[in-house]
Amino acid sequence: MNIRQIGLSLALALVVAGVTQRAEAAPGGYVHGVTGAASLQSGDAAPRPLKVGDLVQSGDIVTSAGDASAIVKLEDGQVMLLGVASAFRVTEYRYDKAKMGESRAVFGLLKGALRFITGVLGASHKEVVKVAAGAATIGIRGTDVTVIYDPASGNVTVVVNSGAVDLMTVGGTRTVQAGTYSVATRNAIPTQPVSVRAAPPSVLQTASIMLTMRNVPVNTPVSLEASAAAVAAQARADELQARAAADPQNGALKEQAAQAQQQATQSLDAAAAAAQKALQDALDAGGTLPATAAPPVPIAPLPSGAGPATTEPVLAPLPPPTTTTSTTTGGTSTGGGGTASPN
Amino acid sequence: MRRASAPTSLQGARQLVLRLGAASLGIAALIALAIAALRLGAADLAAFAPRRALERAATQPPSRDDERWMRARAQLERAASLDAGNPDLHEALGRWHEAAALRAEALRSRSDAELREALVDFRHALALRPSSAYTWASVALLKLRLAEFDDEFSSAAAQAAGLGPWEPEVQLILANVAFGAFEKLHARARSTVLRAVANGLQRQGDAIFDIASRAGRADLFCRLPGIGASRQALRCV
Repeated sequence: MNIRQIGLSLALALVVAGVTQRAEAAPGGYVHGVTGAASLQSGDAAPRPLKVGDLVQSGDIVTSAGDASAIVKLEDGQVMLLGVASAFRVTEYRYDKAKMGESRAVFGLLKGALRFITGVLGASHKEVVKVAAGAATIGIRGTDVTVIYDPASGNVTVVVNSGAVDLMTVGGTRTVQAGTYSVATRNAIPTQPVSVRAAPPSVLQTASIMLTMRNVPVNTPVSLEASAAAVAAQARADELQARAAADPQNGALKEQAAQAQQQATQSLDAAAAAAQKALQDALDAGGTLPATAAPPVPIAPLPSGAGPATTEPVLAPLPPPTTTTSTTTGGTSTGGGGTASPN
Repeated sequence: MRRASAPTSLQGARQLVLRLGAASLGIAALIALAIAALRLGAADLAAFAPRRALERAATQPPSRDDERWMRARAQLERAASLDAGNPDLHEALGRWHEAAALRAEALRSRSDAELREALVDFRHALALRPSSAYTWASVALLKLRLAEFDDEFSSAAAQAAGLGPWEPEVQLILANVAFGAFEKLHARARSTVLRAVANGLQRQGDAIFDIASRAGRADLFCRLPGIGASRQALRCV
């Protein structure tokens, strides 16, 4: 076999591998909620409007406009909340239910703010979950983290809501614990973590908004298709209900809305049952139940004149069991067209 | 003639005595009723201010030097002594001790003593009014706070769920109990308690979810009976 033939064989092998890879790319997540204008780009295709119920796979890029936000949930339960004017890529996602240690969950924050709440993979095999932003890589140790990336300055800010992360650059690594934040600037070692309450106002505001986003789903495994179908059905039912409410004389529209809600309820019921099974399967396969993010409150800055802050929990101290109804304050509402809401 | 009037005077005197006796009895009864009413009224009056203090305490941050708060307890105790058979007053005392425990926790002090006092008061209230689902639920919640997961804990939760499955306050308290210590409940109590909590999904699903989240039991929330039929299922998919 001469060199040309070897080269051709290699090229052919690469092409086949590429085709096979694309053919094997399967959805790894779905869009749980959208507010405002957001888009989804798959491969080389042009970006298309992001809709509730859209399936997301490795290589996809989710982008939010200036006033938009999105919630993407992955099959293992991980929840990704994208802030306004932000974009992230699902670099590689593969959830191996039988051999979780061989799974991969790698994401890239391209700009803006991303909060991620780890699912079963992050709880069971932390080493498989990574987020890259600028020159920094974030290794997960726990549950709930907000990452803010400014491409212009190259600053990557990590705010840990619960658990801990390793913030790594070529300059070094910092372990950032709950209630603190650290900044990585290009190749320098990240800053010493300090209380997030001492963070600059812009960081505090962004972290608070991400923390108080509403309608965040639980971070436990799901059946992708069932969940995607359920949220899409509910979004459709909500849209029809809004149209029927705006046109109360239209009996046909009212009937349509009622039927859509009935279908949505059936779909939700099936998806909830499938999710319970998915969780049980994950636990049976040796997975660890991920910690639930506690109901969040906006982060209060330190009083002016206060000295250097010690490490404090980001979330307000949880009150003892109460009989009064709690309400989530502030934050981004995900109400509006196309968003499935439990209210 | 004189002989004939003597028996008349005697009869008259007898009738007078009888009438006076009856009147005295009546007056005595009236006086007794008046005293009882006064006591009950006094008990009510005595309880009014501390009840207001309890309501205020629920919304205001605690203070170590809150004399009004301490006075409220004395007033409640006095009210309970005036009207010992009133379960509401014993329950109010239980609430005071429970709130005192929460205040102590907020001030990072020990609170077990207050919780135990509250338990005594609630048990007393239950002895007088065993049909109160709310009081049973309160007992279960106190046992949870004291980490006493004994028969009383499970039976109180089950009683509350059985007597008040559709009462919103009971549902929230039971949510705290279920999500706080589900595996500590007796097996036979679990489904009853979960069903009562699930009954609240429609009207206060958000609050119930918050409780589940605080307790780190969103997984259990998603296993509530009938969750699929509720919009709350959107959190679980």
